[in-house]
Amino acid sequence: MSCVLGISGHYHDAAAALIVDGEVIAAIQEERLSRIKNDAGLPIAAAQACLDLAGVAPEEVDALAFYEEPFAKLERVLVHLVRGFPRTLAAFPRALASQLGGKLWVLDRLAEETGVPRSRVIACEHHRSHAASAFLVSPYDEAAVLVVDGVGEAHSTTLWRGRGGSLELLESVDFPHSLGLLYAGLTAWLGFQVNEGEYKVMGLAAWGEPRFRDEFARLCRLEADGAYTLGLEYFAHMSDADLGFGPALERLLGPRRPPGRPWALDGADDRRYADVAATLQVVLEEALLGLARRARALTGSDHLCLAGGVALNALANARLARDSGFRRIFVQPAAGDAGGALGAALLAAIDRGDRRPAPLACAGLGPAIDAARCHAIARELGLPLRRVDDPAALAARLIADDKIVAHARGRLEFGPRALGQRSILASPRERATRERLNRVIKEREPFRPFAPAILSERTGEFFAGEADDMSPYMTTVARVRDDASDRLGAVVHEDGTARLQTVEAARAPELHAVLSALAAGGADPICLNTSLNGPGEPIVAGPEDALAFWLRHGVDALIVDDLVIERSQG
Amino acid sequence: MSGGPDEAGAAPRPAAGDPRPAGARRARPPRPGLLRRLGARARTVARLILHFLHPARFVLAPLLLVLLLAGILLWLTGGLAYVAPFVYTLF
Repeated sequence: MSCVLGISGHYHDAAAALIVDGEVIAAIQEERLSRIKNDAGLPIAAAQACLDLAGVAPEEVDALAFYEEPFAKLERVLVHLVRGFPRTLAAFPRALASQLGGKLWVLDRLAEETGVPRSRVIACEHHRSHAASAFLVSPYDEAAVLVVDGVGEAHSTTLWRGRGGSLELLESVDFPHSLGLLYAGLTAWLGFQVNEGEYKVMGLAAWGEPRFRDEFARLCRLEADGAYTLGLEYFAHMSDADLGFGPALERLLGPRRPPGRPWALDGADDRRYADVAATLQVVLEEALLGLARRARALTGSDHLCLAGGVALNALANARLARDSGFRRIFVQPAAGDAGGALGAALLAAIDRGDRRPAPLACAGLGPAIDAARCHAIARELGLPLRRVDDPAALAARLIADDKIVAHARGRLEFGPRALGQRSILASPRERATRERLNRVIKEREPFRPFAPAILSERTGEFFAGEADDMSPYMTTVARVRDDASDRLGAVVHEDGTARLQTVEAARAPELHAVLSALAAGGADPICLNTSLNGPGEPIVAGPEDALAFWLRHGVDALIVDDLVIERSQG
Repeated sequence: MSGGPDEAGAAPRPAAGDPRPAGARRARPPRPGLLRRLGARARTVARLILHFLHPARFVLAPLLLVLLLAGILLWLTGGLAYVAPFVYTLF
């Protein structure tokens, strides 16, 4: 038996993944277990949970692969501290503390904390880990692979050729030029938290007009061959890891938006911020299109795999599918740094002689929810829990009655999207449902959209286009058909698109059962699907989290496996 | 559909699905002793020095030296709070 553990961490969104005999057995983000959003520590609990799921002891692990090379990263940090002197002076003590405080010793600590012998702990290159996480679980034998993120050791963008079980690096763009850091800098300028607010910027873009093209031409210059350079004088990621942008950006685009100020998109001030977000989105899409066309020219492939945090931009992915010339595009559900754990494990497994795994069939790679424990805790708390024979039918009935349902069934998803196993489900019909969810339950900005989940085979009835390799994982958007938009008021975004999830029984069995029950009852086989978490919380993992969510947030019903609690009326 | 508010005292069913639910966890492995950990750190420092012995990286040697000295200082004093004034004065 061959057993390989992959680890990502020490920056944000730590995760662990386990490969046994060439099959992906488990993958879990640490935040789901530690309950710290985007947990930046080492994913020791997640690693242990992966081993527990497979029934493997730490000493049975043949290799533990970390998703980044610590010395190469230290080298990049030192080089840029020297190059940026004296501007980097203030950053030096912090960089020093960060490196000496943990990053340098990460492989030692992983061995100590997990119990895997130190001799079996190895490091993989950051971007290669990302590329592996996309290509090696894709449905393609050969593909171009494009990795775009903030920065790894030195690369911020890489183009690869994937063939069989191998990856060949073709071209790269190096730090400090980085599309991920361009997006992060503007995210901070718009008053959102970096590494958390990027989705909000994407949602905001639909409300604006891209009228700042001249200004953005100074921020990011796109070359004909797909390469790009940033106007570094506008950014501060070389010397200030927190803010990401410099005073020059405020001189160019105006003062930053104060973080936390309520949004009023009918006012000129916030319209202007929305216009900047819209311009950023267009520039990002054009940069990615240039890179994708370059990748196609270099590889001649019809298939593209995308990875890195930027690959979670569903709008850009849809544009690539439309305009890049690739016939098929795949983005795995944990395309960000969490996915690096999966990629590192896959690289180490293949290095050891394992076969390439089967294409990813399902994002549910975490532990199943423990209904017995939920039952015990609910009894302890005196909650009116009951058991039902057909929870999917009950969920469908509640959704059809315009109730909002917290739905925790099956294995925990890997990646930032809830795909039916830990979801809030509701009717997609009324815009008022979206308002209630945004303002009362999720407590988030009113401009943010919700996603629809639809039976895969019925996609064409509601959306322009059919299911593709991205839509099962909610990593793309589709235009809502004009004749269906009246029935989808809660999930159509301002620009007429929706970040849809196409649902098949093999990929999300519990959600498929709910949608099938809706269809059987004569309703549309589609529902609103958003993550089962409150503001600032990680997505629910176990029964304790599910019950805590129920007690704190005003949903109408909670379904945990075959157990149900309903909120009494009045 | 069946059931009612948890009156039946029905025995809880095991969690659905093949993978074990969270909760059925074994104890964390014990941490290795201090000497063993120090040995691992020493080997890491040796690998780090080897990495920076490459001719293209010679220019970084002074910075690395400062880094390692500061590291020793940090280790001896047990935290950044004591070292921070020194570091800020130095730079």
